[in-house]
Amino acid sequence: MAINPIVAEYLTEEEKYAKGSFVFRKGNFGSWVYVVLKGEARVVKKTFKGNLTLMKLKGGDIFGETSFLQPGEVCRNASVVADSKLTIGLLNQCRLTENFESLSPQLRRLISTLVTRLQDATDQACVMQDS
Amino acid sequence: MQYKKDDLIVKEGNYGITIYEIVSGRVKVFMEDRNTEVTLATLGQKEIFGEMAFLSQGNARRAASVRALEDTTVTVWHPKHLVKEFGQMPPILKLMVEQTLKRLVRVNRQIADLHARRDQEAIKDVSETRGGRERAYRKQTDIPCSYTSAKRRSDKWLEGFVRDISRTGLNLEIPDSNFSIISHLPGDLFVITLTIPPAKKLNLTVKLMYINREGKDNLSLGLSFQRLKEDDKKTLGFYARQGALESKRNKPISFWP
Repeated sequence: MAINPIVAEYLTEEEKYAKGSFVFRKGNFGSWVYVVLKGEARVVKKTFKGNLTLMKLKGGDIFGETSFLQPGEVCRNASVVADSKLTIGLLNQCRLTENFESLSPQLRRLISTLVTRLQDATDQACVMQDS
Repeated sequence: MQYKKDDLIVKEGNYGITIYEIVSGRVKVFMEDRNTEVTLATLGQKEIFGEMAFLSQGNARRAASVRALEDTTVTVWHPKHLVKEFGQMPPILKLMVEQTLKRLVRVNRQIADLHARRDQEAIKDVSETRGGRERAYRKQTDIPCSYTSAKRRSDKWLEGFVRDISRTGLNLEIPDSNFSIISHLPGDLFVITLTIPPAKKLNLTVKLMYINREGKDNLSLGLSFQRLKEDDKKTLGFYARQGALESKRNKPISFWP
């Protein structure tokens, strides 16, 4: 699996998941960032019509980063479930946090705003999909 | 900088990396889709906009337009010093930002598409309903309810009274004081919890269509249902068709002299 060397630098542990099991669920505590090493997964959100797939993840894709990029937000916004046998890599949380905190407050604020936009827009799209 | 109501502050497609921060007032962020303005967000005091173009290195085109909804004052960030810092950001963070941006652009386009599709269906619905035997009965009611913004982060539940209800929407009366607690602008989405007599509890998603003044201290919100489960549709349809004699707002018919 071709992992971006930038990402590979941050790899620490590996986790394996069986098809159908959840890496994390919406509401879970955690702001760790992961990368898909092998297999497929999807990001889902529960709506009135059932689980809505927000995004499909495959080898090389990063996920979990939205909780990380939002200081103060320690809960997961959506769930991630394995679509096949899944191996994911955990990225070095210490180094990532160091990197993020080395940015000026203004730049951090811009990035957090972007993430909030994404979350609000996703919610809006979910609500509309339901109608 | 000052903008008057309806001024266009940012235009989709233009080049620019200036970032704006709202000091006072409200703006709407929208995309144009076939001559309609599709509202993506409403922003108020202390919120920023214009950041997407700045964060997309190389492609500094505005992803959406921004128009003032009322007289608005903004401060402007000229991010020249931020450009340098952004260029020197750790590559992993740049990657994450890039990814978030791509996803945001995709979701915004999805929203615009859904709007267009839904408008088409709404037009179809109306013409079908008018031609059909079923008319949308509006029933006068007096049901207390709670509602909140449909946005993810909201935890402020407000009270109101449902004054009339039909299969397609309802009229909600709220005290003026609610207006400043969360955004109440046409286009905003809310979630309402109410109990249809005798005991059917409903959670409905509604969109604010219009606001009218209702007496000295109250406002009346015209809300249309955004997504109705078949079950809820039936509940509402049945309830709305029940005899007008049962309405509390009508004068009671007296059988006694």
